[in-house]
Amino acid sequence: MNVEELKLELKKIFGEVIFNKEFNKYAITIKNLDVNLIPWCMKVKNEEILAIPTKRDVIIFIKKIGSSNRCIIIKIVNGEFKEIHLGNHRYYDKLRNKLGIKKGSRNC
Amino acid sequence: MHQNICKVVIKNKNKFIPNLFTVRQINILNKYIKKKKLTQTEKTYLYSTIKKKIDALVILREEYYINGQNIIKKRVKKAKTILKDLNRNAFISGSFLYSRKYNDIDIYIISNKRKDYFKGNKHFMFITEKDLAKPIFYSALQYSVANFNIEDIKPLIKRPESEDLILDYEQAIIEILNNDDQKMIRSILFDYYMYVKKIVLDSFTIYKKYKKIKKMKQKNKIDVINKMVKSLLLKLYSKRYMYYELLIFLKKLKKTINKYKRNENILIYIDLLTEVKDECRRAQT
Repeated sequence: MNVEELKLELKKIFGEVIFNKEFNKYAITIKNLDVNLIPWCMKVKNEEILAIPTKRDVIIFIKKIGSSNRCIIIKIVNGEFKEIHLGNHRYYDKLRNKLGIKKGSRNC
Repeated sequence: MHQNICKVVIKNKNKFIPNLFTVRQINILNKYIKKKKLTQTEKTYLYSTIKKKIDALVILREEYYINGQNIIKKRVKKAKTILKDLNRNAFISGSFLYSRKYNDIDIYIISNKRKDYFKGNKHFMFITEKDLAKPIFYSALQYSVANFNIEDIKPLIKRPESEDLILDYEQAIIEILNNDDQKMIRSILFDYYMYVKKIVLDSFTIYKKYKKIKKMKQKNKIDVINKMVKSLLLKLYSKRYMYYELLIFLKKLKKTINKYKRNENILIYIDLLTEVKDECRRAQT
């Protein structure tokens, strides 16, 4: 499955979602992403996966892929799935800050 | 270019000049090793002539270091062949060395720039020399077949931010409750041994310990993770700091609990973190 097919598959599951800029770059380098990621996404959609608690009005699901890559799915409370992010630990750190699950934003 | 061979050539330059290298070539090689700026002419000379000679010398060098025990013999042989073909400082680690069934071969190559890619079942990871001291790579190196000596490498251990540790814990609990692949258990285990027991586990030992926990019943798994995280939080941070951090964090956690349809994970976090917070309070008085 190539990156475009993967994105199409994810859109089938979640509807219209936005992918982060680096999604393609990481989707190419992570092996068996379709096998690892799609069943997990189906479970997220079917509300079988527990979310990471956050104070913001979004619901966040995180999956560790490989040793340092992460997939993060963001859903609006009582609403649609909004964004799918794929990145390394540095990107993950930045995004966590933005989402309020990192120091300074989480405990306020 | 193979750094060790370059260093050996420079160290024994009298034996190489003039038959294998000229004085000028040795001087350029010396500048390259010391990371001094090279002129365009020197760069051309380095890559067109000197590199070829160094690469040829690397072929003659067959020195391998087997780190760790119970590595499958056939895999050692295969690892050596891969390393020989690479012709630069590298090591092979991961399940390829200890597991009959493996998905891919993790090949770490020492380079100036980081990158990684797959080629068939080979996973090439380019890391810098400095990276070798990072616990994750140090752990891989402790169970490896390498073409360089690892004795002088010491792990560089930095204390993690408390909220990073708590987030890893939250994910580990979620993965256990979801019956997902439970990779975060490995992460918690690794941290626990590194910060509490002061041992950087090699990749095979961590795999064995991880497998043992994975076989446990859900409740037992949670108990083990809770115990490790509690020890980590109490060991790594001052009681005063942890008490106030958790006081605020728990207040927020309790506020958000109704936002989620499923919140069994949050109840587990609250239980453990309250226990840690109370212990911090008691220790202060």
